[in-house]
Amino acid sequence: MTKYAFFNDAIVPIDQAKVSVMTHTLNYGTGCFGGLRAYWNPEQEQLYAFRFVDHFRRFLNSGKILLAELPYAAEELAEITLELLRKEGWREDCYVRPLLYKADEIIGVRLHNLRDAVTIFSVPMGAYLPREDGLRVCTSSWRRVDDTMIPARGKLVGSYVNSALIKSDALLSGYDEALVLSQDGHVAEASAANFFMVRDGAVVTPPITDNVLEGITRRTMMHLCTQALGLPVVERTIDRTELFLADEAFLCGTGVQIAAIGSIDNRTLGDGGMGPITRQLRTLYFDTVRGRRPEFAGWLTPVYDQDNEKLSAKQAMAAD
Amino acid sequence: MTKYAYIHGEIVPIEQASISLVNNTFHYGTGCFGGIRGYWNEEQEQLYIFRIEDHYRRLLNSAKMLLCEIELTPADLAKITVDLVQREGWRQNCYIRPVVYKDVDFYRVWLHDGNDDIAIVTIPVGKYLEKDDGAKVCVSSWRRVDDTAIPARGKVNGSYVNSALIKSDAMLSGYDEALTLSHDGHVSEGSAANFFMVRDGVLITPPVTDNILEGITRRTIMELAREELGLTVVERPIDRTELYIADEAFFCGTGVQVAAIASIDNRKLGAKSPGPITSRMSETYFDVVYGRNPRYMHWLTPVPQTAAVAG
Repeated sequence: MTKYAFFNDAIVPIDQAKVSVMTHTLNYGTGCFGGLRAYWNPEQEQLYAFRFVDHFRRFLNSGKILLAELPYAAEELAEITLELLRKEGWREDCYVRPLLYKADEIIGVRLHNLRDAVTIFSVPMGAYLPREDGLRVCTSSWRRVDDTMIPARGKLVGSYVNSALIKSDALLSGYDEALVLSQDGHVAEASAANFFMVRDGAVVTPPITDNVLEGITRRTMMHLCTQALGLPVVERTIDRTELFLADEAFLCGTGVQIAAIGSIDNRTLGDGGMGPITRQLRTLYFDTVRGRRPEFAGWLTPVYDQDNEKLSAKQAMAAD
Repeated sequence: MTKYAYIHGEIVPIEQASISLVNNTFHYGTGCFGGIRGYWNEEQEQLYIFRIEDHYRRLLNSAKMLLCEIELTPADLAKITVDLVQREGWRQNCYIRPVVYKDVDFYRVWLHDGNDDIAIVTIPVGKYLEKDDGAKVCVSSWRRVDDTAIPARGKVNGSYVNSALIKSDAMLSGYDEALTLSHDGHVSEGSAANFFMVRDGVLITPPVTDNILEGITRRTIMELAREELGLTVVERPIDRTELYIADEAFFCGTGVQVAAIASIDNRKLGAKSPGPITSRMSETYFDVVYGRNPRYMHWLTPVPQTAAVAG
């Protein structure tokens, strides 16, 4: 169980970390968050923090969209999180949730001249989805929030009610997940994960101008495909009925990690399980995040390496 | 200062009305809220709550869109609210904020099985000062959240980050407020208030299918305009450049009440602001909410005085 949270600029017992029901962000969705993972390597007895500084950079960029200013750089938030993880002493995979929120009580519905605050906590987390192959996916009847309304580019609190509407409708209709289209009818992403498909040996994903999260895992997958698997990766607009013709498709994100799609709108993809490219990429991804691929060690910061922790964090930043 | 809140089915000291940092609605905007006003009539020494059951009916409709399950009826919620306001003993105008939220943790980005709860707080608000020169308004560069993405029809927490983006950009550009267009370019509403304009003596407002809040104050204004001022009221899509040639325009809502618009995108509306119809609309509205118009007392719920205060 989680024992600590970073709250009001200090690490405190989590049961002391509460906010009023009148908090601005609770009422108006005026915050943003991040989702980070650290992976336990049992052979090395080491917990590896994955791309923490990159995550906090995006976190602060989401904050910028909301006119939020925090007195912390991405590197400082990463350091605070490492300290928090050491204090928890996790010896298993875990998930870290930083949340930037407007700490004033309900007054004006606005973003500026409000007090910006940050809280961070961590929880043990293995697989997020109940299954990671053969997902039954539908196309949602909802549309993705548009960049002209609430940007999907960053993880804005308010935009996730759109994700929740999409996810609940899919689950209650008997599907595991849903893909959502932009207002103009092109494929954006899943309810809360980026989308990739394989067509004729090329890995295809929607561009960041099609109302998708600028996912760190998305970038990681693209890098692993081109650098380690030698596969061409194409960012381009995807039509709805192209989904049915894909050879393989998968979802990725910090939470879902990598999960293969078995069918879309009841049309089976491949053998309905996990395609060969997806399987290869999945193995590579888990080897990378658990510190078994030295060529990608620059993305990892060992949490418990007391002597070298500062140095390693610096190396990770330099390598990025 | 506020002393009490209703949460987890009971009235508690306000300090106890808190949520955990891991709360689902705090992370994902998966809740909905209401905004209700109580008006203090000084002559009668009486506090009136305006259209309380209508507000709770809309709140429960917003909750329905979010697959929330709240066992209480609008009448139950009205009674709880009257109890809460009575405990506070407000002898001034007050604002009532009920919020329906998911009392579960952040893991699940979905709506069903949410262990839904409702919290209610009330806060005193100052006496309304009528701004005689009207608001300076621009057309926002943002677009209203669409009904296909996050409905503006109810007060869904998450959709208000769209309102906040609109409002801050307007204020930081030197305007008081902004009008927002729908995805298809038609006028929807202000950052968080419904919109009306007057053209050739007719009162015009966008229909509920143009991504607007189904406002209780909007309905009130439409009814009062017809019944008390004898005006023709038309609900129809409004084009952007129609805004510039309106004779008068105003915002309405529980928060802003009736707020005159002086200019839109630096084009002055009418000869003077507020215009004659806006002024009459505003006077009529305040007479009704303060309990000075006997024909609309059915919209008001008097809050009984506590023994201590009354005695």
